[in-house]
Amino acid sequence: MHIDLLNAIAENRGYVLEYLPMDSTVQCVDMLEQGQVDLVLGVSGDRYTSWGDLTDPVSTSSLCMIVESNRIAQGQSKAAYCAVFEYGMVPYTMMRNLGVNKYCAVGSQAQILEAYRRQGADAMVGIKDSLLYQMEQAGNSKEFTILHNHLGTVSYGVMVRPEDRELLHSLNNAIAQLKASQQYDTIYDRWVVKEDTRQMQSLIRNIMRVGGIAALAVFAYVLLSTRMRSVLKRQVEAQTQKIQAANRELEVQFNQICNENELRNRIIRHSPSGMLLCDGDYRVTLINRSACQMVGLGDPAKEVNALELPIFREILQEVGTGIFELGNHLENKRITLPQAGGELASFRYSANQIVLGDTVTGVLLTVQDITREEQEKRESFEAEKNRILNRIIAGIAHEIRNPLMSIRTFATLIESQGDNRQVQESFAQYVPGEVDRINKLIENLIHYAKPFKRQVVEADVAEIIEECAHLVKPSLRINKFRLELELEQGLTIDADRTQMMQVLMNLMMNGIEAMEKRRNIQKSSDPLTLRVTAQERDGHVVVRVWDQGVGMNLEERERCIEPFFTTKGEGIGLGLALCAQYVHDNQGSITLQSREMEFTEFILTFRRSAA
Amino acid sequence: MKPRLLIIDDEKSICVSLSLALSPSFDVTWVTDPDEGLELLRSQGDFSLLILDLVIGDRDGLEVLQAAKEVDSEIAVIVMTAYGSIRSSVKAMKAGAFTYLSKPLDIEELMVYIGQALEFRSLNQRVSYLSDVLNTRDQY
Repeated sequence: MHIDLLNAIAENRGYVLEYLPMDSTVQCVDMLEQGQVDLVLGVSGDRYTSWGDLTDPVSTSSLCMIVESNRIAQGQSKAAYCAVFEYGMVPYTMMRNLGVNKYCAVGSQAQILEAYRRQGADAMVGIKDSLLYQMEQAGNSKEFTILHNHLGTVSYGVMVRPEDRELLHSLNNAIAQLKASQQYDTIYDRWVVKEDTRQMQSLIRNIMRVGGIAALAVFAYVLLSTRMRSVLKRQVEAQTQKIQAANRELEVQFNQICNENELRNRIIRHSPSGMLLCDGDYRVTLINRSACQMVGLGDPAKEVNALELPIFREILQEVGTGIFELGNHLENKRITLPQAGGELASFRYSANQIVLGDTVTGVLLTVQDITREEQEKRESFEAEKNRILNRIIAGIAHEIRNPLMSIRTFATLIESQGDNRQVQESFAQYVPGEVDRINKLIENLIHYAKPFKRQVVEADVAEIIEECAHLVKPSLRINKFRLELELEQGLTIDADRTQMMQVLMNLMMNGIEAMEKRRNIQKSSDPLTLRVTAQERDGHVVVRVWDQGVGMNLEERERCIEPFFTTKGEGIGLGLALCAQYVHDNQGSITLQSREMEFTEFILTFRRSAA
Repeated sequence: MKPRLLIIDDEKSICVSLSLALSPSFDVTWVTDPDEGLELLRSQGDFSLLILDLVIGDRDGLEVLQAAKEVDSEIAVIVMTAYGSIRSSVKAMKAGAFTYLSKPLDIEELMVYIGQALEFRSLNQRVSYLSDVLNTRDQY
């Protein structure tokens, strides 16, 4: 600062200056005395007055004591210090009062901080502005604390030789002028670090540091936010796509459900079956066109009670209130009801519960008029029966001829040899038997051919099989086929006898036809066998009809029970379908096994009647 | 001496009734087992006529007819059946049957056919005899 001030004075006065930096003031004043220099800048106090004269103070500063901040923090402010100071600047008495018991004197203020570092001192005593400036320049001002701020005032001036009175006077004038000008303040402010400025700078630094941290935090936050936003955006996009896909799927499902619902409604509306939905109080909540036609209801929208509607009323009365108890469903039940004209009509119905939670909220009744279907079934049954009957009758017609011949011959003998005892005895022995034989054949035939009216009785299985065997024997005899019967006696089942006879006749005649085919294919006269057995197995009666016919291939085995499936040139393919239905009607089951050109066996299983 | 007749039918009542009806005019033997009948033909060899059922249990009457003809080619055979058909009648005639009758038979009609069959047999035998005589003359 002093150089800047002197330069300003020199510039104002037109001096030409050359500076010689020296380590100590003593060296400077020696050089002044010896005439090597004209001026000594930065001399303070009156210690050097014997070497020259001092101008008015160029600058004034205060003395202070600075220690390491750590020592203050550790409570060592009262401890003994090792202090660095400028020689001659501070009286020793003051140093002792300040707690300094070790000294390190340096030549100038500029050497104090360096000496402090080098000597390992723990305090500095010197010009406050100079020390602060040095610490500021070294960048470690924070490590120190000013322990004593104003230990005294120090003024600096310019020393000239005593004989240079004119120069002294000129310098004083120049100093006075400089101080009066703004230039002095400018130079002073440039060099002297004011406390408030220092604090302000510190504050600004702190603010800048905090601001930097804040900016960094903000930057990090922004970066993180951007990153997170980017990740979130991707996730949101992915989720959005998923949701959109789910939405599309839902839309498809919704449309599907709507379509299905519409389809269901259409099916219900246009179903040939009468459909009626009623609640627990029998109030009709839905009724389709067929049901309206069935019961003669004109307006389906009209509020109506199901018990007021014919057919549905009888069905609901038959099923009772139990149908509203959870879990009670009825499938394919049959009811026959008299119609207005007196004729009987048959209906097949199902009752399905509408359940909400654990509560039955309604019952859907589905009713089909099966009068015509049953009529057609009866007709089919009759047609099939007639086909079998034709074959049986053809066989029986021949079979009857044998006993007829005996009877006729005996009748002739009675006429010509009526008094012959041997003729009489033979007549008595054979004719009644032959008549019985014919009668039995006819009886069985009538039994088989009589109109169908279902009636479940305790039927003797062996008896039914023997009757059937009797009817098919002529057909077997014509073809020279063998018949084997293995029948456990006393086996009874609860069944319709006519249906059972129909089943067995069908199976046995099918067996005979299959054996005829095999014989025609193989051109062999080997005797073929039809075997019928009836045995008891675990409370069930098992009837097996086994023939040595052409057998069946896989397709025939799988499809032979289907209606209208036939491998025969004649027939309508209902025989086995009817057999299966009749077996099921009588709580039985039917299975088959077969090998082509070897055999076919139908196995019928029925529950044995309770003893 | 009455001509000997053999009846083969698995229906015993038919055998008995026919036997009674024909016995005034013929010496009648009957069996229900065809093998037994063939054995009789072989062992006794003096039957003039065979009345044969075409369906004898699980045996084919045509086979029995052929076997009988092998035993005695001159025997007259009347085939009768309850299961008559043109096809079976043709087969029977081809196999050497004199005639083919459907059950139930009329006894008078049967008697006529038996008479014709025996006459036919007799004529055949005579033709055969004369043929043998002629052949013998030609040789000398």
